[in-house]
Amino acid sequence: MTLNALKYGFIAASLFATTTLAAFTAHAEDTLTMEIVVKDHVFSPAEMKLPKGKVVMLTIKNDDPTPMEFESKPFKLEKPIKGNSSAVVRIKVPDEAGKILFVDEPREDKTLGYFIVE
Amino acid sequence: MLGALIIVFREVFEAGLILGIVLAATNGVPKAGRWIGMGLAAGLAGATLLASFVDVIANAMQGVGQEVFNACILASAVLMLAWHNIWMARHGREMSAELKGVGQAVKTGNRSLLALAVVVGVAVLREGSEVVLFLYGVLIQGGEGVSSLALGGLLGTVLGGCVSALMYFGLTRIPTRKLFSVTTGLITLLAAGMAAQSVFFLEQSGLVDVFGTKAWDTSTVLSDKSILGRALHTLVGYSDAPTVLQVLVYVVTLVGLFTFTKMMSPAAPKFKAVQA
Repeated sequence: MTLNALKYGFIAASLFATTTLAAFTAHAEDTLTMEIVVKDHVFSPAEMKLPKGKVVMLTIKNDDPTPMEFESKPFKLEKPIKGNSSAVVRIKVPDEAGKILFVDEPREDKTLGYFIVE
Repeated sequence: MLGALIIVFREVFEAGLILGIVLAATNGVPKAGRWIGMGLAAGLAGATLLASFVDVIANAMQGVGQEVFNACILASAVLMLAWHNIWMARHGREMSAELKGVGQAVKTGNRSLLALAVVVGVAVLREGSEVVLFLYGVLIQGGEGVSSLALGGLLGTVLGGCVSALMYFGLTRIPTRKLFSVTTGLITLLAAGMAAQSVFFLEQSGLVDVFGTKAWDTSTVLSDKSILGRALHTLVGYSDAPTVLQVLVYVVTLVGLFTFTKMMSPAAPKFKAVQA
């Protein structure tokens, strides 16, 4: 019976994966791409404008040799990035305007910036 | 040294809580320690490997590889916890009460222990890879000598181990009869929280985009980044701003697993067939 349960669980999971992948391809066109660079532990730009209600694929380019973790608590973003490499985060920009903090977690007091939602 | 200590403790904390619960849940099960130790070792080895491939994983699948990876390993942990709970419900009682068919029970018990070893491994893997990455960061940034770094990391790990020990000794003070239902309950909560967290990662990756509105926002009351928030996040799946979907998945997993465990728990054990 446990075996059956696992089998059905697997089938359900596969179905789930297929439908979500289909949903993913359908959504792919609505997205914007943006880039932010970290050099000498400074974000540039330090203030990044995001359009309300859009989906933004943000590339974070870490030009320092040290690894970092891009983090924005309000947006629930957490992304470890190796030195001299880059990573992408997906941001679902809310419909309300606002100023949202993002940081490099290990240096959160010094290396920081803001998303300006407008 | 303090930098390394904080980084390590922050990450080890969550894995420490899970390890404590798993140790208590398998208290008295033969060979449990060995299995869990193996899970721990595999998790550590995996974490080192993962840290060196973090960019490869992150950039896979159009940049959402890390999220999908996290979602998958959490989902597998949920399956393992569910399996363990159901297995324990069926066999745990007869195993501890009657010691009947112990040979059989140990054989199938090994599979259940394997499941829990995987859970421990996954917890260590997830947290450990970040520790490795950041310690490396602290190291190449200079300023801190290797010995100071090692000391900080070691102290952080020891503190994390204390969390495990507190959890374990706290739980095992509960009388054996009750301990079983307590750990079953804790594991059910753990599984529900992990299921919701897995959905969180799928939402982050953009693969899942339904019922994505915020269910509530209590980040000003209790942030899930604070130490208490983190503990509650691990133990009962607390999130300060979950989506409706996360809440739904949490409730469904909780109720589903609870009901299933109850169903599988025989009042008087009639059948002793070996289960896969």
